Amino acid sequence: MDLQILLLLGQDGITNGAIYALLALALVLVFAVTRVIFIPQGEFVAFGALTLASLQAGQVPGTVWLLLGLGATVAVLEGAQLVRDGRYAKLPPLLILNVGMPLLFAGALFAMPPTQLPLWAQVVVSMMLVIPLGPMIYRIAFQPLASAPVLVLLIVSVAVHLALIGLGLLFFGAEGWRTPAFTDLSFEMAGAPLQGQTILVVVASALLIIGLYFFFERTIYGKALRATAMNRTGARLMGIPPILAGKLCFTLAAAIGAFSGILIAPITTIYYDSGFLIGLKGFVGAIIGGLASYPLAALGAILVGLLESYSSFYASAFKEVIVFTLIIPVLLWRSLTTRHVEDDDEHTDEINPDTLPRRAKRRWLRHLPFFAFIGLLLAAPSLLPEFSITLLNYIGLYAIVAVGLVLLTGVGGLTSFGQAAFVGLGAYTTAFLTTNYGLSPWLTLFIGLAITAAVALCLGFITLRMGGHYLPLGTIAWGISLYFLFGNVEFLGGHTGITSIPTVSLFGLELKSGNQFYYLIWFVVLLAIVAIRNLLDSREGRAIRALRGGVVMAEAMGVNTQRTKIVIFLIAALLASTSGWLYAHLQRFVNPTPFSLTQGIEYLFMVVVGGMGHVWGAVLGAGLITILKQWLQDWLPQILGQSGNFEIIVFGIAMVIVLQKARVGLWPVIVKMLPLRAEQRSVPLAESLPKRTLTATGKVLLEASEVTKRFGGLVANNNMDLSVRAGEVMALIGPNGAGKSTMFNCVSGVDRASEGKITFLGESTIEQGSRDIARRGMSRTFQHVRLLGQMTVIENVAIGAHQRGSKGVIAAALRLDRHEEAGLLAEAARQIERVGLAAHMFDPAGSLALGQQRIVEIARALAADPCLLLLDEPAAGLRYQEKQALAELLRKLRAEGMGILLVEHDMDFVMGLADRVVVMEFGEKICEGLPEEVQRDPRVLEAYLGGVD
Amino acid sequence: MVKKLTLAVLAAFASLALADINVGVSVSATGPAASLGIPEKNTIALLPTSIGGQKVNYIVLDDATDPTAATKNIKKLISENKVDVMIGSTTTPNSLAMMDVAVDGETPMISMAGSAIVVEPMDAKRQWVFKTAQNDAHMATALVQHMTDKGIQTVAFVGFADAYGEGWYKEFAKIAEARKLKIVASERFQRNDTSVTGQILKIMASKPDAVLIGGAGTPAALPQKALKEKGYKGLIYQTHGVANNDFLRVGGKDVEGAFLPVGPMVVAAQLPNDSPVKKSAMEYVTKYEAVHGKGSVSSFGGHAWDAGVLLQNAIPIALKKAQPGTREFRKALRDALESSKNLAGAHGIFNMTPNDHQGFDQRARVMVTIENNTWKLLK
Repeated sequence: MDLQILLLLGQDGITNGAIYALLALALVLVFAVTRVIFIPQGEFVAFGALTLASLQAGQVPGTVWLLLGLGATVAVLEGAQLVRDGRYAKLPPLLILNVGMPLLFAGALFAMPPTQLPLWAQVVVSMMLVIPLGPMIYRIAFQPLASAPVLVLLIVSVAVHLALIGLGLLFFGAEGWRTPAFTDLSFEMAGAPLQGQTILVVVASALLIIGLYFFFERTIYGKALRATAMNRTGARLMGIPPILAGKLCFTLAAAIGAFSGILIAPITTIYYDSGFLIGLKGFVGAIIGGLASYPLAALGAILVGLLESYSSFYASAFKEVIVFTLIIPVLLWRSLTTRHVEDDDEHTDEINPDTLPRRAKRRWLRHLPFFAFIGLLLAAPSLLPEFSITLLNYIGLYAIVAVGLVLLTGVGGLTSFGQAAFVGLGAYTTAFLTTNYGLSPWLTLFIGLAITAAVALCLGFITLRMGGHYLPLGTIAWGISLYFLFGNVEFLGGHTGITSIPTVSLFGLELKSGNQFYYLIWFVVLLAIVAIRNLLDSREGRAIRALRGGVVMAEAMGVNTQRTKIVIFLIAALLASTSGWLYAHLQRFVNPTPFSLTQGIEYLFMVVVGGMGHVWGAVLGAGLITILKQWLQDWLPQILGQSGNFEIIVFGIAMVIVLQKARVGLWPVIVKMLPLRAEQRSVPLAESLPKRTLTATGKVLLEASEVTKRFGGLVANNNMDLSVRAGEVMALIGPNGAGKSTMFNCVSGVDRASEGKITFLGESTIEQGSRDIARRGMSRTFQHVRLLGQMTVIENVAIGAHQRGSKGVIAAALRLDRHEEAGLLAEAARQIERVGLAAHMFDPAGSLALGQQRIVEIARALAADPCLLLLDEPAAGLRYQEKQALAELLRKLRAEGMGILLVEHDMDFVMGLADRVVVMEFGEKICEGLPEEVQRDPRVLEAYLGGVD
Repeated sequence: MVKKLTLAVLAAFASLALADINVGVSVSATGPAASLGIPEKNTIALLPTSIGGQKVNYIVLDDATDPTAATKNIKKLISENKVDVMIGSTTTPNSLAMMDVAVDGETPMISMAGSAIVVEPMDAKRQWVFKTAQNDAHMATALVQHMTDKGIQTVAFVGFADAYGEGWYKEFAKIAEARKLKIVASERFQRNDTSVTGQILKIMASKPDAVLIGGAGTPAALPQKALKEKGYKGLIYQTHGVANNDFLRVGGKDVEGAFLPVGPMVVAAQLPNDSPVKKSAMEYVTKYEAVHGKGSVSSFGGHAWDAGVLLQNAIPIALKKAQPGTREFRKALRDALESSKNLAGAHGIFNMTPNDHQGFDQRARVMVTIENNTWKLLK
């Protein structure tokens, strides 16, 4: 292996890596400030390069038209707002900036032939054409959605990307462009030629990183941008306008993009769709940098470039497979080593005021729409023309995958771009086995499901360990790997595909025509919908929904989050595989194209547009997007003429508008329009669940000795001792930052104590996780309320009873769990009544006052039937009467033999209730004893009041 | 009474006279094969709107190089627009996907895809499928012939990692083996790749006498540029997929001297005057360039033109047997297409037989080289 070859490959890798790094930097910048994963960044690069190339070829670049169009749109949008507000004075500057100047610019370009300008002038013109696009796109597409969840912003990003690609094809054509190099210099390095342009690219990247680092760390604007990213509301309160932040960062991103494009146009051919793949690899780099660190992002991008270079030498056909497969362990490593901060987004459970469960009064009326839908489906083949049935078939196929995705992404919060790969697994398994071995399609269905399950378990095991943004990228990685694997493996027909797949026979009837297959497809769709809905409305369903409330809360309630994640991942994969099987036998031809990342993104599109958290949203989304595309294909050429392809542009724009108007999807909008009223559900009557025998009063439940917890250099707890007996209320008090919550976390298994012993009911808990501890009888509430705002109070409380039930996924899907479910809900209702919130039983938990939410948490903790209750500031936010009621409840619980460990700041509340008090300061115990003793202790007085006078 | 009868007869004649011929077209005008599909789409607009006295409607749909979309298109065209014949699609996978639907709908289909698998081996399904693009094997034979004439003994291949590159490699490998050429390296690259350094280094390490680049459109310039940059001294061959001016534009000086087989249409003006293809080829080139500018013609557009040539010959024959819009017409059209003899198209002379639904022979390809940034016919 030649050293020179190694060096050449390294040089090539670094060059490509530098290109990806330029994009990675911009992506991190945009995400850090606006939380938008800005996929169209690649298009800025492409547009920058292609605009310059157009100018050099003597043509007026189409970018001018885009600039004019966007400028006019911004002027209209902003102008309308100004007119509404009556601020007419601001209109002229707005119009001049957004319409006047672009017009002037365009006029100048048309008047003067571009080739006459020197190169540097052409570069400047190109930059000036592309840079304003950034803030304009921000204003039009993203500003109205500034507070939407990251996933919605991502989908809008994809829509903008589609529109820009369509425009790129229109303006610049399908063939590529190159520009002459800025410099023809060429150096020799270690015997290999090194182009001057290449050095420019690398140097530019390095300068950009340093520049961005200084900008964000040292300048006030940079800090303002970072502040906006961390906390929009906080930044606004500090006087930083978030709109300014957004526009500024998009301008920067556009500038970086355009500049990158101009830099790389001489060394490689740029196409209208080059941006996506370059952007994707830059995105990988950005993720490796945790979407936060510029140097790491650049390093990550260079790593991708190097991987690409070396694998294109060793196995060029499998280059993409190798690169994206090797990314996965890197992601896993990064995910595990980064202290993953669960940012606000993960608990985002924006409560929409109108999401009260709406149900019709009578039972048959409630089910009527469903049966009407089935009726329509059955009647469709006789009523509708053949092509409509074809469309319905495709809608059905997509809907099956989308339903799985609703479960995985919408409800479980795990964004997956790789579902298309599982569709491919199902399709290819059956295609290969039926054409080569003549197996029956029904047999290959199950073989396909088995293979998919095996692959999903492997992939899920690896990717689901990743948290935050690493997970979606992990799904992109294996989605792309599998796609290229399908295409490059000889026995699967390669890219040309497998033809002559036999038809499916059902009870002797061959399902050949679309009309016949239709029934099978929609039967599967309905089955999937019913099963998933049943699943969501059960014990396991609550566990799945609890995933969004944060792993800590779910584990504390006894939900095995790792297992639950794998289960929903598996279900989504199996549904996708079934869709693939159906597709193969409908189309009777498979090749890799339908299983690409693009299709994976489209599934996500359908789910978000249809209604992310709703199973019916999947069908709606699939139907809407398919029909919209078809409609555009039919009507656009008639309206706009045959000369170009406008469908994808209009599609992208339409999606942006839809998401701006209905950011949680269209299904909730439709439900709101239906004439249903909120109705009280009744609590099922059921016998009580078996209760735990409580320990005799006075016996020690919890014993913690010499517990020390360190976070790096900070010692949060230092040699803490604590004990709680049955039938006793033990209060843990201390000033803020004393380490009380840390102690709680150590005791309940959320954190592991660095040193010391903790025993609960005689067994050491240091090795146990919070789930096991919870099962053994310890239950807790949280300092910051962790409820699922969209779920009703009774459902939230029922999560607490999770470990008192046992019916799993299959039982839930088949509705065999009704008896147990009734018991669990009845138990939850009992606890709610016990804490005095019976009036709010069916309200969404997020609609309650904060103090009441804390009481709901207590009810949830009680639903687990604990013998030891850990309450973290339960009285915060309660009024006097409510505090009395709470104290009364705690006394009752104590009388029943429960042990209670309480953290509180309200001294009256604590002193009137507690049997013993422990006082902490700076992580250490400074006093313990009866309430009266502690109140008089000079050390305590010193800690709280700063000394006795 | 007589008046009513006359009216009825007139109406019948009127409906006879007004029966339009519907031609469905599915092309890949967007997506990876856009550089092939756009010239095809542009050419469809130039095809005759009246054949044999009947009006001809072309309904053009884009399938974005996606077989699923292609299938949807053909299903739509057959069931809703009741087309009498299908033209499409641009790529081999799309054509294979559409084939079953065409067969079920008993509609003849004229594909513009390159691989022979679309029409061979002849079976009940492929009865309905025809192809105007030269088979890749056809082109590969001319190429290999040139190689052996030049005394080449070892070849390296670098091609697209998609159906085009895959198809070309298969054909080339078969013929190379038969002609005792040794393939010393076989690499792949993606259309959008920013660099192919790794592939080129590997190829050069195997020291081949010639390198064949299996790509289409401007992306195929990248390997050739890289080879030049790394100082490769052997012969470089391209495929007919690069026969358009954009390739020359992007390739610039670096693609000088490459050899490639093309349909005669690409160098129509340089053909000897007694060439049977010259007239029909020039007709297409003039027509296309009149609308889209000098030098804008692309080899792929010619395949769409040839579909029009086939139809122009076959439709009047079929009209004698049946009315457009009927099953009989489609069957008659299929038979007429199958019996096309000595039809001069832009790319060659068609002679279809029941077993050969492509119909070209030696006259459908020539070897050219790139000289002074244009195509030069090799004698």
